[in-house]
Amino acid sequence: MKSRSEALVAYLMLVPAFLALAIFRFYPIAVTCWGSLCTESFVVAGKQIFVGFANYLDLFQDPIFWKSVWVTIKLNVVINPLQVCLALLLAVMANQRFRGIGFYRLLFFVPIGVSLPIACIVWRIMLDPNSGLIDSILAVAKIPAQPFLINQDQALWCIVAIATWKGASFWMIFLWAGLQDVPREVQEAAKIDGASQVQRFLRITLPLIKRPLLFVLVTDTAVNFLLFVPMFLLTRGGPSYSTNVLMYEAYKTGFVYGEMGKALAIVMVLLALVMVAVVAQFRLFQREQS
Amino acid sequence: MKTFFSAALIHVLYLTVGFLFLLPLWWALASSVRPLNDIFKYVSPFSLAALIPDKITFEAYRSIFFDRGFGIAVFNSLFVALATVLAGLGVNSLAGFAFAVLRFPGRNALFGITVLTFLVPFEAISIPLYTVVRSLGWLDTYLALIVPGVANGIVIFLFRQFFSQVPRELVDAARIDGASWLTIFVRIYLPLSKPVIVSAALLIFLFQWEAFLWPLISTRSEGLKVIQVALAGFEERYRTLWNELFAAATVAALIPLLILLPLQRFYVQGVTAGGFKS
Amino acid sequence: MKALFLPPRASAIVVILCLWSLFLFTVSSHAATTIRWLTLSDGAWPDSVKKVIAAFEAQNPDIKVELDTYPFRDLFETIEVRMKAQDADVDLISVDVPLVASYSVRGYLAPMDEYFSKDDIEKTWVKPSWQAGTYKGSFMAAPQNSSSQFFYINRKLFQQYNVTPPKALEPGKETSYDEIASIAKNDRWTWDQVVDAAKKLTKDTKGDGKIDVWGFEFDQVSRLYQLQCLGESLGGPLVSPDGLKAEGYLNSNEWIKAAQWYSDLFNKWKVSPKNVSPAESPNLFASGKVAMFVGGEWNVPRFQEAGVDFAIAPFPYFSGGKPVTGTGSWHVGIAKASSHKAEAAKFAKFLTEEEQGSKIWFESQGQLPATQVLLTAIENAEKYRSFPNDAYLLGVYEARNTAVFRPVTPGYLQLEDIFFSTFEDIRNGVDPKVALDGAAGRVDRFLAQFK
Repeated sequence: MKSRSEALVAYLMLVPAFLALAIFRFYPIAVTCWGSLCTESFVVAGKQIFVGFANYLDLFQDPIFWKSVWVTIKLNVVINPLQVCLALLLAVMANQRFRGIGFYRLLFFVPIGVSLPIACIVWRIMLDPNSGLIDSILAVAKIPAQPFLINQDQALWCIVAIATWKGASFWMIFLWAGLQDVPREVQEAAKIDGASQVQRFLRITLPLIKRPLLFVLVTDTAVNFLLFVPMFLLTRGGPSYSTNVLMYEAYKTGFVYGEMGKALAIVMVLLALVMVAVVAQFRLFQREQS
Repeated sequence: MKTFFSAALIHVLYLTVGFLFLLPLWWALASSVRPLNDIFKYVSPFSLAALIPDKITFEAYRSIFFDRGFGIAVFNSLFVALATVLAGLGVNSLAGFAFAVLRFPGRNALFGITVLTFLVPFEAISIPLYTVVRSLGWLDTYLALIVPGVANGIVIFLFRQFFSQVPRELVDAARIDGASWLTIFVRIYLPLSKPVIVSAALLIFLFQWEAFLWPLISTRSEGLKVIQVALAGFEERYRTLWNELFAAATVAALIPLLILLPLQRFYVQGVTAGGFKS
Repeated sequence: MKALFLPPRASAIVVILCLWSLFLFTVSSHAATTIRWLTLSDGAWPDSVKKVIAAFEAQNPDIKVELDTYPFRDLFETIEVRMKAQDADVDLISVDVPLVASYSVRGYLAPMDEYFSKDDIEKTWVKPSWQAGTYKGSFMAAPQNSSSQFFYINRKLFQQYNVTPPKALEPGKETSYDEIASIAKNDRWTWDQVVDAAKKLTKDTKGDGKIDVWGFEFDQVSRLYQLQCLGESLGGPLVSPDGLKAEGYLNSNEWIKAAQWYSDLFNKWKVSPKNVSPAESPNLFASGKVAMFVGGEWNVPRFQEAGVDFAIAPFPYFSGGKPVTGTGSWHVGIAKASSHKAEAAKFAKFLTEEEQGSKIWFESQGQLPATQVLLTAIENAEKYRSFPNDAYLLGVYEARNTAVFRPVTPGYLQLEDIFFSTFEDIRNGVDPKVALDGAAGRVDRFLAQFK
């Protein structure tokens, strides 16, 4: 009896969210899946013609598509752990108590307010190989001017740096919130027991912020797999397709070339990749739990 | 001596990080108060003059507010963001609570599809979403801007993660006392969740504040323009109005920061908080 | 039980409301037809457009024209979304001329043959302009204006470093159409001459290893619109005449030669800066850092405002080849899903074909017109004899003699996008032949679907 009423309450609580999600997410996503199996009619604008897996087959034969897959994986294998670790470090730094911490924290928050397009524009100017700020600073240290965004070996990592500038700051907030749930007495007790700062952190603090940490990891992964604004504004997928992530390729195919069906097929592939990553992350944390 | 040295080192570390974070915004701010043709003059070769303007003019700010109606965009973005936050906090926290605390069949499956909703990029669903909103008759209204952003899988996920940290004993004790689930939610969970409520509000706020593609295609009236769309308007085909772009960007960056500033105190542990773990 | 009838005051209000609605209903059924035009929000465009609309509405009181404006980059995205969703709310769209084929093929535009007769079309506009608005024999989009490309010289830098500039239109001199035509025919510089001068004008004035003054720069760097003239000047079109094949055209010997020359500008002779985007390029010339700049005619007012001491010369060409200039701008077309096609066509006619509308547009916006009448008027008017208005005369000459339109192909968007990435790669040092071969292959993969 009790569990049935519990279930009922649960469903009721879920109704508002799921109603909205159904209309504004589930339905469009379903249409997207269907759209990836279609292509556009050349006679009537917007009319779909079912072509089965033709779009996918087309993609799998395109060497640029495979390059995009590789670039996407390369990017994400690096950027996700990097951002989460930095965010954690920043959260710990923000959680300290000393005079002036409030001022520093405010500085840490700054990237959150700056929208990604503006951040990209400003960073691009700073990374200019002709005369940007970064190269000027490197010159002081007698390091030769780097090409940065116009070099196929460096461009992707520059984008990683720019995205991390914003990402580390943003995710820090959630980990900092998580740290608030770690009671100081437990930390103090461990200090008395003689554990080093690092040990205290790894053995006590970290396990206690597992759940927020999982949240940050999963959501950051999702965001980074879908990242394409910096590629769009800074490199257009170049140089030589070295920053051509799947999402940018999908955007270009759909909105610039107008081939929606194929673009949606790319999105489906991307979705599969993200799901693999996310499921792996959930499993990892579940295992560590037990 | 040792403590002074390590304290100084700490400050240097914090300052360096802080400087790195501040630099782009500072440059944008400095550029926004210079005449248009000066902005790129000192970048190549780089000199300190690039960061500290010699000629200060507020022409860009005057222009964006009086000639381009940027004030309307600020109002719209604020209104839409705040409305979404209010509705979103309620809707998503309830769902997060249900997933975290209640037991019911299909819990994992339903949670799974909730996560799925933010794995699909917005650009992919933009056209079907457009047709849905059009058939609701909401195109070119505030409803189109607000409602689709209310239910948010990420925010539900956030609440679920934080709510599941609250010890079960509290719930069991309250249930024995005969409290309804709603009472437990409001009286026990919400007060303990100040940091996550602020984080969730921030998430929803920024989601709307940075929204670009959706407002672009779902509204057309000048009166409904939002900030990111207005910002894009400074990049014309043949030239970019850099000073105005940076002025608008600075305003757009400062507003969320000013809102976040006073909310910081919810994050810092009070004397009472943290006690429930023991 | 509550009273069934409303108190007197409330019922009076209800009655008045009903009567008012009835009144509105009857009035609205005689109201004007409103047509919506999806177009640009850049700069003075909306203001100029509104002037034309005001004149049109004065003559046609039963038609109202409303605007949906977007910045340049977002306009294309929005057109894609709205046309795909078959938005019946849009009647006219601004079509960037090379997209006529693409939009036609995908069913975004309604043919305008019933509103514009063949005779009318040929009489009104210069041939390249109306041809570009036609696809598979149907007239799909009417030319609103055209464009031209000039060779801008920074006089101060030439004087400073003692280099002889080309014969050009200069401030303080009066000139005539015939004089300009003669310069364009006889004294046009070749690209070799440009490079020679550029080498002498690229300087590291501060001695810090960084170049402060550049010899030469393109306006829309690496863009098809800007660079098409390079290969075409050597006699190489970009795609096959039917617009469906790039192999053998994009990577022809002529184009490889042109691409090599382009690469050398940045990598061998180093007279042009890398990593400057099309948006920033004019800023460099406007701040006096570049000696020679090739770009659109729309830069004239902007350089004047910036106070650069500049002259305007005819667009360079490859010696042994022929002079070629880029052209074409915006057209206007009727959206296929529109339910007010006749009214939309009426406005389109007023704006692009009729003397009154097209004249208002030209005088307000100032872009090179596409109609023969206006071009002839410019040729003969007094005000275009002095600098910088005489640039228009040069524009007229080029429009009549050297203008080449962008390739008509339904895969234009893919072609342009791939062209841009390819030439950016070439600019950054990738071997031209390798880059162009790869590009041709990729473009053909896209064009295959249209066969």
